[in-house]
Amino acid sequence: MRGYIAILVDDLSAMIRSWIVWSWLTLTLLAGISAVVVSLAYADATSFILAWGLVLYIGLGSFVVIIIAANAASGELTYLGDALMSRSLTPMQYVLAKLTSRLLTVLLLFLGVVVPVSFALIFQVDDNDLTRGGISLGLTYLGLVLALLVCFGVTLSTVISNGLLAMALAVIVWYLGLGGYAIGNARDFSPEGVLGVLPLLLRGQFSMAENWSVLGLLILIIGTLVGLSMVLFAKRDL
Amino acid sequence: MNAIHTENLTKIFDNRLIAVNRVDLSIPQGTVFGLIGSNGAGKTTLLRLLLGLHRPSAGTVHVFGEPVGPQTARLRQRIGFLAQSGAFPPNMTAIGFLDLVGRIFGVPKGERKARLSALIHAVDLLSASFQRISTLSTGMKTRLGIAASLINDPDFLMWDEPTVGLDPTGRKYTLDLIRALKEEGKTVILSTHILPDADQACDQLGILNHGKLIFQGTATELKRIVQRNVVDLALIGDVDRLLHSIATEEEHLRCERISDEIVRVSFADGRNLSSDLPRLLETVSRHDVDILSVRTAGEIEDAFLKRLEDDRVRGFSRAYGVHKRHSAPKEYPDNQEPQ
Repeated sequence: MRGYIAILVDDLSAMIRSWIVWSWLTLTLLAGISAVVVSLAYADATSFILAWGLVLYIGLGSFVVIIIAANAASGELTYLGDALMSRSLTPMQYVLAKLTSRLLTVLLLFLGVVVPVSFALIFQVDDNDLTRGGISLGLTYLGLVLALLVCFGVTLSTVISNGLLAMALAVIVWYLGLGGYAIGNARDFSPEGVLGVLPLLLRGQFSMAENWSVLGLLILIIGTLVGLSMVLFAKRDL
Repeated sequence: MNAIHTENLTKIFDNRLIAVNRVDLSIPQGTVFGLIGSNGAGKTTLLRLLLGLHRPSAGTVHVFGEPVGPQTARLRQRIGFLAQSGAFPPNMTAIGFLDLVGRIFGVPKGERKARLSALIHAVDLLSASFQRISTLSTGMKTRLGIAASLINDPDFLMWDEPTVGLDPTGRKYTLDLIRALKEEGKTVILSTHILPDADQACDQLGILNHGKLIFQGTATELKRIVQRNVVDLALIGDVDRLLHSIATEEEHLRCERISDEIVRVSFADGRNLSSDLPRLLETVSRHDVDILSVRTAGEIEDAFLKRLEDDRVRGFSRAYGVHKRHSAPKEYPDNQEPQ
């Protein structure tokens, strides 16, 4: 446990010092403030504006998340065995600490900006079409999607020693999957069409019974990736 | 009780490179064991197997009687490891790294700070303690590694080339430290290719060659392999007259001038060095020649090389024997074709 905590604290400190993290945070904060300002003029399309913001966050933010996640272990493999794993540390503790740290970083970056912006839209924009339940479910979905990406990136970084290769592979697989999903779910290729059901979800027009299975599936995939990363890493010679 | 016990330990990388080949090794607790071998002999791989960083392809490793693997962090709690590679997190400071290692080992905060301070002083890294590790010299990294290996007050130390990159003072300090650790009852594995270091510091030696342990025993046992009764004398005075005198009077001695001051004296095989050496010194003193120093000449290096050569010849003979068996034409009874 102490090995897990030592690596977790060390990795979180590294994340706090990362210029990528601070640049992305600044960029998304500016974008969030802009979204609130724009929404003041288009109250009846608030769900549409927020949905676009979220889709852009996933689209562009995925790249940042891949950089954060796919470098988790591969960036350290040159010295990991001699400097750290030769101490009182197990592969499981190491991978779990890295996963926790990168998940916390990514989710705090996401929720720390998107939650205040979403609720600013509800409370600041008169006659907006958002519901709290819709926002909560929408953010849960996107949070799980980002968590899945983090786990995928960390899993790749435990098996691929070259950090750049791990990132490149993650980018290719993720964006192909994301693109395929978006095209498959788009009603048509218009600004409204490509958002799929997300605006409806944010407006509260959904059935919870239908969403449980999708949420469960996402959690199952995340759990599988966590297990896989630990098993694959434990099999490596360090 | 043995600190280390391996049976048939083998590591093969990518199904082609045999890095460690059926090593049976037992190291009793409290021993300073010198693991010697040329570069690429498999020393580092063997240490990593003992730590559980590498999985054996075959065989077993027991440390303090328990099997070792990647999950045995509890055993590594009792081990201090110094890697040869000098691989550290490059962006960390020296003190930050030591603190992280201390936290991984679960050393309580107050105790950790005290040990950190003592170790940083002891390895003379105080002025560089807040420098990034990537900016440290090889010797400084070695000293940092030594400090990191001691932070958990281990029972067992595995040091891979601990004198590499060190100046003579640092090297002497490291060898003195090994002796001090032995007096505290710690077990030490010193992996090195600097043979005089191993000769000075170790109770037992093991020679690794192409992954095989070809010798295990004391330094004296190793030196017995060559059994060369040779001493180097550093002399001042009329050395030429002395050499002439020895050549005519002492039949069992052969002298060779190595330099202006150094004379190498070889005693005939079967002679007793303990009785012949005082006679030689007496002869020297009779010729108005001063002795600056007397030392045995390169014994451990010679013994090491002899052992490697023996192993090479044996390997060749084995291979030749096998080759002959396989290539010899088979003989079949008349009128009987092979199936």
